[in-house]
Amino acid sequence: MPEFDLIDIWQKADEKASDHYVHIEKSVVKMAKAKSKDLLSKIKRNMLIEWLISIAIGIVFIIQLWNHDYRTEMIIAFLSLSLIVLWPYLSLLNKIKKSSDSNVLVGLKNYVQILNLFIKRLKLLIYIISPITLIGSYLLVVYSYGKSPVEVFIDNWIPLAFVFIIYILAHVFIGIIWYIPKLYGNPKKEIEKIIISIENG
Amino acid sequence: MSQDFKDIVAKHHGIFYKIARAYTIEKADFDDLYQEMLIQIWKSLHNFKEESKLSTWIYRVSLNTALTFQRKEKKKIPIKQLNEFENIDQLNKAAFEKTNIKEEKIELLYKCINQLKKDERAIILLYLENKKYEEIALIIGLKSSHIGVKINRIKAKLHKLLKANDYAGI
Repeated sequence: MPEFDLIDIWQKADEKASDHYVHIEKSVVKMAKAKSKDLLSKIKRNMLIEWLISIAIGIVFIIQLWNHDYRTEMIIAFLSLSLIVLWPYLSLLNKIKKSSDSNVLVGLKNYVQILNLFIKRLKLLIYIISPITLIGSYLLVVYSYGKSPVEVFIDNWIPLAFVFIIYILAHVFIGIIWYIPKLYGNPKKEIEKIIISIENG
Repeated sequence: MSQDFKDIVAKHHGIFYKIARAYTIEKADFDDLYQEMLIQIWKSLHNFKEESKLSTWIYRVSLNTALTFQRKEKKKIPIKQLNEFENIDQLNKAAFEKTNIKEEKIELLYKCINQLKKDERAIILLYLENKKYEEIALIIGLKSSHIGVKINRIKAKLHKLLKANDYAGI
């Protein structure tokens, strides 16, 4: 099969592209302004929502516990937590912004790097920040009623054990079984394979 | 900005169409990828630097979008089934037969390109667009010599696929 034939056929494919374009011509700007389904755009949106929710929850807690003895400590803890969430958010946003401004290979590597950072951040939230928050909230509630944490646990072990089991199951599901691997881990692996294939294949 | 964007899409719509066809099989996926490429071009239009050629930049952004595109699990309707030969009655028979053969060749080429690996599709698309090795290397991010070797290998693979799909019989 001669090579020019292949390219010749390909050039003719432009006619079909034009036929398609005629149908969408009037709506291209509307299409371009739609919500992106790209993983990085979803991450960006999720992070913004997550940050706003954490700020809102923090403000509600501060208002609710305004007369509490540990008010200053709580405000400091809240501000620290907000910064912990905000810093990677800003850093990731910056990386996402730069990711398309490069050649294909660099673009893919940036994409994987962003996914890696996001997965690490999710794991940090699930395995460290979330348990600390849970235990901290429990201690805060118990101490605010002037009781001992052990005493409260022994008196209420059935509902507390139930909450604990639900908490563990939810985290296993999110972190190990479904959420992180399916939504972020698998696409990351797929892109890593493409990078290897470009570089070595 | 809207007018600039419209002009760019009007001039380069072939790039979006061909990339979307090469990276999808289902109509719904094709529409999603086509739209996603438009979204990414729209979002990063302000990042475009005049030092690179506009078409080179469009290929870069569009191929990145196609390579990272995640297919959806939804109803499967092949692209061909939806948009082919909609106006047969408006064509005379001879013209239709000519169109038919040409379109079958194009469809077969898309079908075979679809069977290549994702990165191979990106390189062969640029080759078929008659891009020079230097420009392909610039878009992909490899050395020209490496691109040359890759193109020869991918072309051989594509020829095998076309033969296996009875290309000569069309």
